[in-house]
Amino acid sequence: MNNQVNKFLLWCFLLPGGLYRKLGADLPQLKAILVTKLTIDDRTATGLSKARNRNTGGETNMATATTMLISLVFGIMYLFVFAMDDDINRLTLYFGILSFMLAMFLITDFSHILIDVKDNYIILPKPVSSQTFLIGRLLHIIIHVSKIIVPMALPGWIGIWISRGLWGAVVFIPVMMLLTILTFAVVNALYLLIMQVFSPARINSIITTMQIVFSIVLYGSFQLLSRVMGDSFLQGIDLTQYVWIWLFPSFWLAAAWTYLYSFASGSVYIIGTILSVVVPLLSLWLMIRYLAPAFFRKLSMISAGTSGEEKKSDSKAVHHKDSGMSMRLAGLFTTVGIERESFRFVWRMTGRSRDFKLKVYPQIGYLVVIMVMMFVRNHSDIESDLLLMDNTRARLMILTVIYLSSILFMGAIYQLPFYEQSKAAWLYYSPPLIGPGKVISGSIKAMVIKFYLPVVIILTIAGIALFGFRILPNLVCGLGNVFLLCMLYSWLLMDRLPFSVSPKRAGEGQTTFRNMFMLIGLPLFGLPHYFLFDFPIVLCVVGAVTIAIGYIVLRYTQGDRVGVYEGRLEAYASTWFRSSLSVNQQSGLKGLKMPSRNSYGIRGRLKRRSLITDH
Amino acid sequence: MTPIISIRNLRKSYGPKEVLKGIDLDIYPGQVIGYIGPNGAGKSTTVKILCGLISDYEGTVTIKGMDLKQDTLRIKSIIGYVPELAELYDVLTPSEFLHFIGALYNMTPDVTNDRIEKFLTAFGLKSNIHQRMDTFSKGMKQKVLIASGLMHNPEIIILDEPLSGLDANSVIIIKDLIQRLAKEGKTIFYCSHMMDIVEKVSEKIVLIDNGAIVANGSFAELKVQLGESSLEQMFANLTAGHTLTGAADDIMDAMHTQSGPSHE
Repeated sequence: MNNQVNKFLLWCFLLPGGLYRKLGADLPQLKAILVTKLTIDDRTATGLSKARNRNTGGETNMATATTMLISLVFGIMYLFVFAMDDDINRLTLYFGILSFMLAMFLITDFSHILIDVKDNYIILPKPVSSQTFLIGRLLHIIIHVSKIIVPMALPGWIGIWISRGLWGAVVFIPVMMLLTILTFAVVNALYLLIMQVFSPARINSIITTMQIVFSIVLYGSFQLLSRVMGDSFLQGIDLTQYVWIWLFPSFWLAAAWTYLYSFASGSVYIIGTILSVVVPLLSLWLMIRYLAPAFFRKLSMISAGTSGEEKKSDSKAVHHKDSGMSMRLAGLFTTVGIERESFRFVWRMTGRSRDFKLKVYPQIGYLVVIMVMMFVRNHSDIESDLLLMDNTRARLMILTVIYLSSILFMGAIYQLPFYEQSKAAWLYYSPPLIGPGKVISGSIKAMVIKFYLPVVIILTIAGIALFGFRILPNLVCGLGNVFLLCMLYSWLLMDRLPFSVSPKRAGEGQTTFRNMFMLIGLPLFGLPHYFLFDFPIVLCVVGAVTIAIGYIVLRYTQGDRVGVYEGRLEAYASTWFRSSLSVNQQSGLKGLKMPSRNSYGIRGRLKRRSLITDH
Repeated sequence: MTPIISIRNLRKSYGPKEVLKGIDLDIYPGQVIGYIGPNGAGKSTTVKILCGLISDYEGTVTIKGMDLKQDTLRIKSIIGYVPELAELYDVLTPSEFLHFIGALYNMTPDVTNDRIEKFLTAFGLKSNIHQRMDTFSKGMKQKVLIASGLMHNPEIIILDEPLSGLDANSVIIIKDLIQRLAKEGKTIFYCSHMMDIVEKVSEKIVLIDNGAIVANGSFAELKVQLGESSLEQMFANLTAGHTLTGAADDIMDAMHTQSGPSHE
């Protein structure tokens, strides 16, 4: 099906072949470039599919269809605006959402379309004229944008057709085009700004940050939308009354549609129409005239310029930033040697690995959104009975917040073994390391300090600020329980060393395991807690006990009490070795009997654990 | 005989840093040129200019009587370039990738098809022809890249570290191939760090350091000129001076250091 989509798109966009030829393009080459680029797009998870999907890495060849489907689903969700009566209001909101979404998609995907350095090595040395190359790139961008915007706007277009008739739908099309042009120009300018301010070497990390922000905003906006939809939002408000509304291009576009649809008289509509035609076209002209050349200059700098100086100054900045902190923390919480070094290693890598940041940091955002939403939903109660902590709902809410905070640690530790350059994990196996115990305990400690301790601090401060000191026993017990849960989870899960497994190997089974663990573990501790809510002394004792047990589990992981983990490292090594082979080598190993995946999964781990404790 | 590649006073700067400081070089048809130099000497900048990747250089580059700045496309179509790092779209299969390359050289699909099959069979990749290259080893990718640089039967072949990641048997194949190509009249511009291979395959060796040519001639000529027996020695003398032997001493010392400033 996917191929059909691409074939159709290609056919559409190659229709004006005569025009391209006139512009100086070589058609067979142009077609070859586009076919290749679309195939690559299909097999590269980008934007949403990347931001929302935890398990990328596997082979995709449905990225196009996925993106289009996701866009369509979004488009359907935005239909809620049609619950509003006023055209200006609903279209202002609708266009606003659409251009925001498009911008987000483009920001996160642009790097891979525009800054594909490989083009410089693969296409440019070939006898391809610059016209062919530029038109190819332009068409690729247009196809890419239409893959997002067409499915997203389709439900709205049908909605307009049904509610306002054919003419409304016809007028909708040029307005959408103007919206697309404007959004595109803004994103382009934004990219140029980023490139101007940051060195080429840092652009990728900026884009990573943006992707993280994107997924959080997305999540937040859905939480918010589900609230807004229930309310009579924007109902009975006349947007044209406000001056600030002119700052929103979506308002101009809404005015333009209204004007074109009904030829409504009134200066608002006429000015809106003029603005929505002039500004996008002007920005398009600016883009072609000034931004694009600057853009390509910068791009060639990125590719040509891997200049040593920039790299050097960059790594220096990183070096100064965190080494002091990680040194001090490592000194406080770990013993000298392997454990301390592995603490520092994990501390630094979690701050620098793009993959890790992309997968874990959005979860911090989700957590904040969930918690904020919980308070927003109950905002009327905050001042009254909630603060007294004496009704069921208030208690449930407090406990939910405390126990949900474990998501962060568990998500982070789940992601810890995965790393693009997993081959680098030879470093564990080459030195004469007896067992993985110290490495793992050092890593877990680093993760606790980085992803659990901040939660403790924030929740304690927020809890005391909101409820006073009487919340403390519940915090001690709750956070103690969370600590124990996290330790148990790490002990069960850490059968791979940090940053040693290719993300392609991220098994579905482990996600299920995490969900099961939380589904059973959280209520198992949370429910008794709920019934003990009013017994501060008991709570404190339980908290102290769970923290102690959690600590024992941590020590146990370290291997201090269970003796030498003989043979264990070999198991780790053979899993790693197998995963780092190329296809050729793997096919050569087919006849060889290798330990099955399962024996290193959670079940195998439990089995090994019991074997170890036996002697 | 007129040179096929003629470089006159070639200069190139990145910002204030001058990477090439006036290169003059003539290369004749059928020659194998070993282009060597330490990291950052300007090797890959020269290569990028010859391939038409960088156009804002000073000086003139004439290839087959055409100016590189004027007739870029015609020149590009007679050059085959094998880039240094495994730069390819690795989500594609070798077949898809090479078909794409063929189209960019305006080859007909039939010819491309035929050549892809023959190239990959010769390289022992026939069974991988429809597998995505993201699972390939470095050597396998390198073979695909070599195929992509030779497929259109170019007159000039620019190889940038073509042997990286290849196993010993493949190295023999490529070495053999280079000699056969030269015999057929192809001009080969060979960039590498592997002195022993450069020494064996190159008819003429050009050594650059700091953006300027410091030695230029056949291996025999250089031996007489510089009084060294191996290319490695010449290279070290011309580009590093006396510092190399010292470095080995320092490393030996470092291994035996017992105490030093404490870590904490």
